[in-house]
Amino acid sequence: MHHSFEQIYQQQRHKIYRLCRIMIYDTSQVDDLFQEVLINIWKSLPQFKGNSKVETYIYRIIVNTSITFNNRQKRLVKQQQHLQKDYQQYKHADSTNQSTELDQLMQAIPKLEPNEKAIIGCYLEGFSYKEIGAILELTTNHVGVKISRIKTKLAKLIKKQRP
Amino acid sequence: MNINQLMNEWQQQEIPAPLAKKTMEQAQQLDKRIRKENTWLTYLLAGTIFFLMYFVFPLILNHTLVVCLFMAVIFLIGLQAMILWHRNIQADQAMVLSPTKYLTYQIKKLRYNLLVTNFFTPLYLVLLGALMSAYQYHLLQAYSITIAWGSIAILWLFLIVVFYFGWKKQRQKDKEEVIPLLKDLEERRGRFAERSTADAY
Repeated sequence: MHHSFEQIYQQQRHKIYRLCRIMIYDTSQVDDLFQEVLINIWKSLPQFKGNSKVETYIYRIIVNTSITFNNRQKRLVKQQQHLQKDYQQYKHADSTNQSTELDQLMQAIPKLEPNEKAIIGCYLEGFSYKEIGAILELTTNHVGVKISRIKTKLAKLIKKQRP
Repeated sequence: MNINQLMNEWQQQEIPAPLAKKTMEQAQQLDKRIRKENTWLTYLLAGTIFFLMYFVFPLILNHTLVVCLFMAVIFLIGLQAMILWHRNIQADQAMVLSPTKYLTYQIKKLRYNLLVTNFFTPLYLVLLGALMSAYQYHLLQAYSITIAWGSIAILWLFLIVVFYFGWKKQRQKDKEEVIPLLKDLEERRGRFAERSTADAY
């Protein structure tokens, strides 16, 4: 199992990190969440029977871990208020050359609801509607409708952000 | 902005290399620590039970009530260990449920904790008080009935005072943290589980 965990880590770490960043979006916390997600993957791996894709399995763990993680913070409202500040810190720390549009998108995503973040996170990773439905236990139709609504919501949020 | 066009750029973002290394090391360290702690806890639990059974048990064999209390303590330690073990396994299994089911699991857990505070803790206090009172009475009745009843009264006073402040603190915590959290989780579960009109077709 350890070998499988290593494989998962090597293959999925960037994806895991990106989704953790969506679900939390705070540099100081994303590292902790990433670590907790890895531990939970390691602990839950013996129960993986191969009935579904390993990505489906991992993404559920990420979404569920972030739920628990947020519960523990007990300061959800304050976090929301500090989102903007956190993003600025993150931006400063992560000095990759992001395009303006990606930058704007990343500023808008934290303003979505947790379920919307999970959906758009999976969508941006290239999951099909069916796969997103399997992860979040939604019908394909529902996923399609939700993605369309989230896109509209994001467009509005980005428009608001522009000076 | 076209989100579809950004997907490729999005997927090219990578975890910072030092963080990846650090996190992997931390995860491995934590795993080692958990294993070490579990091993020590197992030894401690087994050692305590062995000590009680081997050294203490022969000394109290003449007192039926004390033997019953002693066995009850052993049983409770074992039961608690089993419950914790079962809950740990359940928590690992719950991790891979869909978010809606996971939230239901979390809500159930919180409600169970509330039930423990409001129902099982007072019940535990009454049982503990009754058993301790019986033991005290059994020990002291030979000297004086007044002393026996007096010590029982002091015991109950002590238990009620300690329990009241503990219970009050827990209730305050529940009111400030657990109940709002429960509402928040229920709201989030509703959002995860909501069905769009598209599902009707």
